[in-house]
Amino acid sequence: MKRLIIISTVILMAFAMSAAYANQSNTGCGLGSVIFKGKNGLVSQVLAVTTNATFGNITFGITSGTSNCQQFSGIVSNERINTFVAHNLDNLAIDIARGSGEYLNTFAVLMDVRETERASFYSKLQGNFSRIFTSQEITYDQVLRNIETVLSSS
Amino acid sequence: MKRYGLIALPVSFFICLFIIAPGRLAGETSPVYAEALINRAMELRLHEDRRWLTLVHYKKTLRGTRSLIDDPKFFLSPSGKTNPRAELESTIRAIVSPPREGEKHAVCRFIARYRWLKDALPIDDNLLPVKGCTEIEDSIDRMRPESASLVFPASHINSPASMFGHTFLMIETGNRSKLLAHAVNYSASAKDTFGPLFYIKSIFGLYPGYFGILPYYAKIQEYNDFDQRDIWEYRINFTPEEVRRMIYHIYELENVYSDYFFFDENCSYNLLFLLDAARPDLQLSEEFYSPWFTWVIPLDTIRSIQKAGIIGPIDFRPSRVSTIRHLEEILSEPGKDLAIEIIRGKKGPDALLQSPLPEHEKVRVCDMITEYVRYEYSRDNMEKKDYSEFLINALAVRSRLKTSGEADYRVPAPANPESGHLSARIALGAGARGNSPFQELRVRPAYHTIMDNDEGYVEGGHIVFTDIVARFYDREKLFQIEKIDAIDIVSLTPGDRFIQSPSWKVRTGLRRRHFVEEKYPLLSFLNTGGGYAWKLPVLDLAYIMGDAELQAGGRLEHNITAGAGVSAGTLTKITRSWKAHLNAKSYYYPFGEKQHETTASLSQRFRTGANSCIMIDIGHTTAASKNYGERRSVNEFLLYLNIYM
Repeated sequence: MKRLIIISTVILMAFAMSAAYANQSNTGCGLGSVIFKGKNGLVSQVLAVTTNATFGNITFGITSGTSNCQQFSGIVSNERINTFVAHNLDNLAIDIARGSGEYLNTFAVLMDVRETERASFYSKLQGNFSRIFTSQEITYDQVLRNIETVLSSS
Repeated sequence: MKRYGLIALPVSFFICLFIIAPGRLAGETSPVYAEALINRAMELRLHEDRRWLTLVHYKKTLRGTRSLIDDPKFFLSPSGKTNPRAELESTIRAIVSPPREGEKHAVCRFIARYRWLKDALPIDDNLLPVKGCTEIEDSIDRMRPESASLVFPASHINSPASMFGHTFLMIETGNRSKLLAHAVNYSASAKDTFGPLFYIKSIFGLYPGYFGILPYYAKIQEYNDFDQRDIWEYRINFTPEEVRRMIYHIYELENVYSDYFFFDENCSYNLLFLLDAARPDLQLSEEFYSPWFTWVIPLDTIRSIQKAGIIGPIDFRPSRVSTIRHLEEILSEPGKDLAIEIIRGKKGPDALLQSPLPEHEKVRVCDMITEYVRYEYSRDNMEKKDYSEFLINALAVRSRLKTSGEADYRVPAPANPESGHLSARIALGAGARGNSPFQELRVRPAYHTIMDNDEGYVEGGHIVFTDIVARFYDREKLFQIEKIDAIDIVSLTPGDRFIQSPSWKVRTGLRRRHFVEEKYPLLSFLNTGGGYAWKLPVLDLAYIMGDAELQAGGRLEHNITAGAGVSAGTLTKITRSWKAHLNAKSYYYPFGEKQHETTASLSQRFRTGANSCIMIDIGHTTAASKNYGERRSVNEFLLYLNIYM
């Protein structure tokens, strides 16, 4: 019985599935770049970067995820913010446009925005969406620079 | 020296130690102290202690005690894999030994073992050449772990492997953002890019399995955004100390492999060791262990953890498809029309700003088109350029729809997966085939069919491993296996204006052939089909598929028959507990033995409890076999009671 199960499972899996192990190519540091195309579909860039990271060698999971991208260094910069924004740019863009959401909250946490100031922080970013995301080709370091500009002009 | 008195060392050791104690700093006492500790450990029988057995993953197998870890570097004694006592002795010696250049000391390398022994023996840090592992303690302090959750990405019906499920752990830290939590995941490390090979190897344990850690947001992307699977988070009510103990053990397992077995030593099973390491009383890894072949279904591990009473709040994180489906339900017709026009490119997203729709409806339409393009892009149906252009335009519009604060809708959580019926099913039934009455016994170890109670399962999903049906025909005094569905998978995904997804099925096993001979020979078969399903008013769901079937067996002419046909049906939830499946199919077999078979059937299910139901099947089959020879037909009636366990 065990053999029967195994053999038929193998047949089935071979039959019904094609594994999504893709050829990897980095498509940039802007919108849509967390996802990248391979021969058999799409794979998350983040996942391709690390499989065996451990607590020991991580800022929070990723060491080399932004290595192909320009790092932004300004007031709002540190490794964690850079990494988080690079890996979650699309989700963050959505939350900024909506003026709420988990990615925006986390961004505020990383930026050390106090709880009492979050509402105005969110609405300021939302109100300036088009000044932050200025073009479809924008990269995440430019997004951070624009956020810094928006926040410093009050 | 007081502590030695406390642990009641034999006098000789006491004296020895006392005399040599001044030389301790030169590292000469280490062996003596080690022997004292080892003696103490043996007195306490610590090598049989469940904490020790948990930390080294020892299990009683058919060949004696063995660790399930396969990596030699996890053991300090050459016989460590099979000898808990030798491993404990070597561990104590290593902890007490002086540090060596370029080598991680045992108090860091095996920090969970060390921390446990420190309390259990106890060990006096002052007598150790290396006094604890400040490196790891500091980095855990910086991480500020607070709580742990077991995460279950629910199944996605278009992917059979996902129906088996997956679990991983999420460790939340002091920064209170789940996205930044640590996801601890056990998986096979496979370099093979050829799908079938991957499955064969993972079933037979030919891949090493490793624990890996990722930010939780990466797992959300993987499951919510790419695989379109809802995510369930089960908070485990561990104290921060228990979470810390668990992390010690994760450190020990860093870069250590165990052979990965898809069915038993899999992702979910290996996580249980981490939970046991946090709270040794749980002994969850013991509950699911069997020296024989078994399988560990991820959902069953959640049930066990719930039974152990350690589950706190449960959170639901909808996939993108679930969000789209929900928006579809709450959008007005004009809202849907506008969304479709924008998606198809007939209008730009700015059209929303001029539309007469109420403001909250505009928000929903805008969210719908955003979710939709992200879905399309994740499925590789859109170029990156088109995607980012659409996204940025849609979001610019969204930012001008002034509804700051939370959205006015929320994707409702369906019934919790663990609240669904249990995985195994046993059925007793009676019926008649033509004029022959029979009794029937069915056994199915896993998992769910479209006719079982849906709650907690993905609707339209169906996955069965080894459904065995045996019958006793009264009149013929014949007891026989009626059929075995080794694998039976159906995925009915209704398409609609936004999401089109094919429906498909695969089934293989053994089945009796009726009509031709009295003895009804057993044939092996493989059946597969693909098609489309819709949601309909009243009937609920309808489908149509093109099917192909291959049968093989000695009683067939040319030993084989192969053909194709059409099947169609409706699946209707009449009430919460009453469900009906009407099905018709007609196949022609032009290859091998030529035959033609048409079947119509109606199955009904009446739910009688969370883990029981009654099913009534009636069917009519007409067949012309042996080169489309004589046409015969037979009716079948069957009533059976299902118990899930």
